[in-house]
Amino acid sequence: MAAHLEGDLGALDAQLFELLNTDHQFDDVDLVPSIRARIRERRAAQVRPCESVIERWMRRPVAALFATGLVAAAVCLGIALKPRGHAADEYRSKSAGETLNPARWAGVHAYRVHAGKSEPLAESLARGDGLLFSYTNLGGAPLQNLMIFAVDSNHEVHWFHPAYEREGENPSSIVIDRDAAQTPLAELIQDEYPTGALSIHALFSNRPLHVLEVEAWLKDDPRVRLEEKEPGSVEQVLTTRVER
Amino acid sequence: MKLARSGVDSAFDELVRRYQVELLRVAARHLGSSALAPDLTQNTFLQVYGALDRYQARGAFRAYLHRVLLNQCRMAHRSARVSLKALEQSEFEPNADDSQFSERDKRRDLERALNRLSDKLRDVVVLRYCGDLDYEEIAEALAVPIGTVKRRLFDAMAKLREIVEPR
Repeated sequence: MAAHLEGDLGALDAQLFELLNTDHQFDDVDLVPSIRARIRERRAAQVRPCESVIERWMRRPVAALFATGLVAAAVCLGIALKPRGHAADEYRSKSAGETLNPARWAGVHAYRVHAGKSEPLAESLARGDGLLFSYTNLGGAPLQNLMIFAVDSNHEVHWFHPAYEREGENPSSIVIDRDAAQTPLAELIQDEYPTGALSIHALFSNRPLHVLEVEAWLKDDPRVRLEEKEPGSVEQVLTTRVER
Repeated sequence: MKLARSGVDSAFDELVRRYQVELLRVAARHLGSSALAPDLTQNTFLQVYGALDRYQARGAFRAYLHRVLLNQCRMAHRSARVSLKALEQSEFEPNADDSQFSERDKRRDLERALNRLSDKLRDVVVLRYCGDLDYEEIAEALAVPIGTVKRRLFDAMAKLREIVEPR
């Protein structure tokens, strides 16, 4: 029986190889030109982030007072600025109370998508709203990996980035660009949350972290500061409420 | 990889050319769609390029590439709700010009059997046979022990055999 099974599996092995490894539809595809074009676009776009932040600020009356190169210099040195009306999405490069580290300026912006329109996430979101994120990763020692997840009022974890959909998987942090300013993560997140508090965590790290290890930390201590668990990491927490 | 990290563009281009076909095949199988594979594979290389200067060789570069690709596929799968059952229809139907009727049937049966595997089992089969990764590379790409890879592959093969040739 065992020999028969081995023979069968041997034949199956050959069939699978023939089916899956001899697919020639991509043999003539060359992605190098399109990749090079995208790299050039990104390099060109990297000149703009400081300008776009300034442009946004110039629409606010208070920003007129800073209409010299002061804002640009502050952005480039990595000093966090907290725009009014966006209390929920603030940059924090270290735990509260510590000196901001100009070598690293990392954070995410969160946006809610409601009835087809997006706006910065503030104090609440409705149960059917989608979420979008962008990240910033600046400074002389940028971090390399990012995870974004939420913990709801039932202490359940909802994974946004990386995507975690199937039991048995253990996805790891997504790789992020350096010198990135408000780089969008294109995926619209739609999930079901119970009403009540929702805390969104962005965890920047040097090494790729895995979903199961982070969930184990949270299970051990739901109030844990994740940046204490992973040396050199940066955690940002945005709190909001899910309304009916 | 070292040359690419030190800014030699042609070295990165060479990396793309060396791995693009296997990544395209794996992406297409994972998603059940050839149409999406080039975009996801391109995004994978762009992510790797963005992280080049910080890449530390902690394991096989191939495994790292496939890990990034799998994350891309998961995100695309979640966004587009791509159904792998679509594979049963036209996307990967055997060539209608196959002269041997029984060979065509066998391929079709195997395609359908592959679609009926759980995602966990199909992942290891696709990485092994499309990507040609060894056990260690698959373990690294999926962040599971080598023993788990071997067990899943054995389970997948047994399941495929059971589906294709029920007793």
